[in-house]
Formats: sequence, structure tokens, C-alpha cells
Amino acid sequence: MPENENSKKIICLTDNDQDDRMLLHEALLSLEGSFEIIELSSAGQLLDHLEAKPLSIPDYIFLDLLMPGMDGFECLEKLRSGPLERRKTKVIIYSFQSGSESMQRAFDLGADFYAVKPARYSSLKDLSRLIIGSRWEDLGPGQRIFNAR
Amino acid sequence: MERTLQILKDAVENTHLPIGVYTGEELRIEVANPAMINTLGKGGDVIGRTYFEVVPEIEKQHIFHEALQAYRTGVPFHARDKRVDLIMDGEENTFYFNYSFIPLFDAKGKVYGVMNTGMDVTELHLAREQAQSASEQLRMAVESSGMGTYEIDLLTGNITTSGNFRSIWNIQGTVTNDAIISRLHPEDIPVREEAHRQAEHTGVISYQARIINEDQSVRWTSITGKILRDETGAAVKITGIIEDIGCRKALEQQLREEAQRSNEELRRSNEELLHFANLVSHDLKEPVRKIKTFISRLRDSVQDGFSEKQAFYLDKIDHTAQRMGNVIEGILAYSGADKKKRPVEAVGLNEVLEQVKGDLELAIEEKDAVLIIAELPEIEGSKALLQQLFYNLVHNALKFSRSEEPPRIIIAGEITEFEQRPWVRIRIQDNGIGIEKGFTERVFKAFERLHSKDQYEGSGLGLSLCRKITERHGGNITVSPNTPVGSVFTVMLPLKQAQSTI
Repeated sequence: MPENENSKKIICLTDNDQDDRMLLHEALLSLEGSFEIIELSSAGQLLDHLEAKPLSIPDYIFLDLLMPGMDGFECLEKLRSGPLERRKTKVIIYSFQSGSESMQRAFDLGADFYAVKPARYSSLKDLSRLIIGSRWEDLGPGQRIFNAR
Repeated sequence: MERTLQILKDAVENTHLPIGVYTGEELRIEVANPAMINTLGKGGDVIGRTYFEVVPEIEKQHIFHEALQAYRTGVPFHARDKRVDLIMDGEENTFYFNYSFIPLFDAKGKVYGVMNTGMDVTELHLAREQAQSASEQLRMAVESSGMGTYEIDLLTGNITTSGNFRSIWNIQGTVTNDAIISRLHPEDIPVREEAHRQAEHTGVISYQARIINEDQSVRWTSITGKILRDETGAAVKITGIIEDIGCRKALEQQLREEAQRSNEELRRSNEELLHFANLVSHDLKEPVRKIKTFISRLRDSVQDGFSEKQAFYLDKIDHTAQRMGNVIEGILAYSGADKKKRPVEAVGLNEVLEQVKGDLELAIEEKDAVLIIAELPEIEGSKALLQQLFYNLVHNALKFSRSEEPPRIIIAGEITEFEQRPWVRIRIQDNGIGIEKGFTERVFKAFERLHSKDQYEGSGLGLSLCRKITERHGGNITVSPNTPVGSVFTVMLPLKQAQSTI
């Protein structure tokens, strides 16, 4: 479980697609609990944000793969090789790509979870619940993939 | 003396050689044997009349003059194969004669008349003319065709040529066999030898060979010849033609290159099309997903608020988005189908079909379908592809069912041998709407859709994908009508794969 269990959970949504950010944002807000949700439209913005607020380390980062500029993989690599505290953040790849190669690559680079963007809003809520509500220690490798299609 | 005269007279009367004797300056006909009378063609009454009176038509042909000249000068006149136009029975005819006017001398050495002999050689002349014109025509044909002819006397080794033979070979002076062989492209010398070897049986020599020109350029020729034999069967002569086929060869080459080029272009444009389809599908996938998401958002946010009409429209939008998604998935699967090599593994076909059955559980329940799956073997192949294959086939059978009867799908297989290899032949039999005879091949073509999409939905790619998958496994798929209703798909798959990836 993330350290600041009882306080507000900090969630970064990194996606150049505004609609997807909005939908995920809504799905997360529909859950019980209090969150601080920060929307970022590029990997660069995310890294800048982390740099600017070194003390508020996010609990979760949702990271799209296909983004203009730095892509999700490169960003993931930077996160995992950055300051130690940052490495505790759960990184959830959030992409429409459902190929096994990109999944493998994401896990190889240190992703904690891989979610294929779902079509139904109900699935999006299921995903949000899974991410926020799970005991991560209990999730086996096979349970770290979400694909509702 | 009297007897000798009689013999002479008899001889003159009976010979086929026309003989006449004309005397005096006016060339009065004193003797004309029956052959001459016949030749003159003016009837029997000629004796005593002048030569001119009887055959006035010869004056303009100078023959009369020739006769008179012989009479006056005492020098015989001979003509060979000369044209003479005579009027016979009122009609002018053309003849050819070997004729003579030979002066006859009296005891004093004075000319008293001329003897005229005239051998009709018309037939001979015409035959020769015909032969000449035939050979002339042949010569012209050979020359204008660009061919050359040759004749090899196998006894003497002499070679005679005509037409363009020399210009094709560019040979001046005597043509010898060695000279010709030395000019052949080294690679074509065995070709020539083989052609001659075969000709020993067939009597016909036929081959194509390259001549090396002086500037080392190459000239393609076609050589066709015939071996002529004497009565004992011994080869005595070879006669034949040689033709410059450089233009034809160049054309062939050009056609071949063009075909290759257009094939290459086709392959490339096909690849580009697949690439494009792939790209576009990916780009289309996202908007379709969003449409679905926002529809579900809309439904959630207006829980009970929709009117019946609104709900109906919303369903329509939802449905359309779903269909669009299916089409895109189909294109993606099709365009990506031959891209990636897949590892070959042992695949239990019953397992695959159980999986398919599970995937289609909803549709099976909805349609109240019966799915009977007999025992199937384990084969080598790509599990993912085979799953897609049977998914498409079963899905197809469910989709094209008849509304009046629940779908009944029977899947059975048998091991069979083909080309000394074990195969499995799987039949997927349904009681659906079936396939018309003329469409059994078309259903496997990409984007062919036999039914209007309102009736039966699909991307139009499912079966073409099935074909791709079976072909990747080295097998095939066909369809035939089932009796009395429905259709039977037959999938042939080899049990073993030669490669470790397909």
C-alpha cells in the first residue's frame, strides 16, 4: 500500500488525449476516497511537474504510451532511473495498444500495471477501482493487465 | 533416186517438226508439211500462196523480214525460244518457237528459197517461266523476310547460301562450317550440337543461337533446317533457313521485364495498401472507442430520462459504433495477418474449439444454437491463428443462420493422406442460409460481401482471413453447399509443419 494511505492520494494522469484524461478523471472521482488528480498532457510536463514538486510524490502515475515528443516508454525509463522516492510510485501504462510486445516492453522497463483503454465507462470504473483498491502485494503478474475488450 | 525422193517426201510429210519451203523473193509456199500447216493455223490451202498472204500477222513481228533476209543474204537465221503471236481460227495466240530460216541454193549457188522449220516450245517455255517466277517469288520472300537460306552438301562440305545469310553472319567469301561455328556464342555451341543430335532421329534441326558480331555484340538467330537423305538413307544434304530474331528476343525480354515490373508494382501497392489499412484502422479505432465510451457515459448520466425514441436512437448509435469497430478489427487482423512469423507449437484442435465455444457463448445462447464437436487431432501450427480460424468459421455459421431454425453446427475431422503426408480434413457443417454455387470461391476474397450489411453484419474479411490462415499452415479451405440446407466448409491442414515458424 502507498505510504500516505490515509491522506489524499496523488494521481498523475499523463495523456495527450484530453477526452481520455477527462473520462479517467471522472471515473476516479466516482470512487470513495479523496484524491488529488493532476492532469498532464505530455511526458515532458510530467517530468517537469515531478521536478517542481519534489515533496509531493504521486502514488499513481497513469502513463499513455503514444504521445508526441517523449513517448511513454522513454518516460517510464526516466522514472525508474530517477530519484529513489519516485520509484515507489505505481506506474500504470494506460494505452490503446493491446499488443503483447508493448506489454512485455512496459513490464521490462518497470511498469507496475498495464491497462488497455476500455471502451465502456463501466469498465473504466472497474479499472479505477482495481488500481486504487488493490493490495498491490497480492497482484500476481497475470493480474497486472487490464483489457476489457 | 526416185526411191530416195519418196523417202524424203515421206519423212517430211510425217515428222512432227513443221517444215516449209518458200521460194522466190515473194516467198511463195512450195512445201508445207502437215505439221507446218497445223502450225500456221490457216487451214490446208496454203501451197502456192505467199508466206505473207498466209500469215500477215508476222510482219510486225519482223519474222517476215528475217525470212527475206535469209533469202537475200544466204545466211541462215535461227531463233530460240522466241515469242510468236499467230492468229489461229481467228484468234490471236502466243507461242514460243525455236525456228529457222535456212537458205536453199540451186546448182549455180544461187538462193532460190528458204526452208522454214519451227519447233513449238511453248509448253517448255511456260514451265520454265513458272519455275522462274516461283523461285523469284521465293527469293523475294526470303529476302524481304530478312531470312537467309543455306544448303550444306555433306559430301563435299560446300555451303551455298542466299538471301540475308551473309549479312546475318556478316561473312564475305567462302562460307565454311568451321567459320560459322567459330562465330557462335560459346554457350550456344552445345545447343547446336544437341539440335543436330536430335535431328538424326527427327530429320529436323531447330534451335536458337547467338552469333557474336565483330564488335562483340550479340545477335539472336533462329535456325531451322532439314536433313535430306539419298535412297540408301545416308544424309547427303542439309538445307535450312536462318532468321535474325533479335527484335523478337528483345520484345520477349521487354515483355518479361514489364511483367516483372508490374508484378513488383502490384506487390508494393498491395503492401502499401495493407500498411495504409493498418494505419487508418489504428487511427479509427480510437474515435470509435470514444464514441462507445461517451454513449455509455450518456446512458449512465441520464439513467431513466430517455424517451423510447431517444433510447432507440442511442441503441442505433451504439450498434453502429460496434459495427464500425468490428470492421476496423477485421482490417487490422487482415492487414497484420501475414506480417509476423508465429512460432509453431502443438495445438489440440479440441482445446481450440472449446476456447472458441467459450468466446462465442453469448451468441450461441442467444441463437439457441447447437454446437457438436467430434474428436479432433493435435496438429502443429500457431494456436492464436488456428483459434482465429475456427472462431471466424463458427461465428460465420452462427451469423448466417436462418431465422426459422436454430443453428446446428457440426464439426468433425478425419486423418487422411495427401502427397505422402498426413493431413486432417475438418468439416464445419451448418444448416444456415448456405452459399450459392457461383459464390463458393468469392466468399474467400477480401471485402467480398454477398449479403447486404443490414441483413448479416461483418467486415467482409472473416473468410479471407480464414483462407490466409490455412494457407500459412500449408493447407486450404473450401466451401460447398450442404444438403438440404446450409453449407459445409472443409479445412485441410497438414499434421506436421516443416518450419519452426509460420
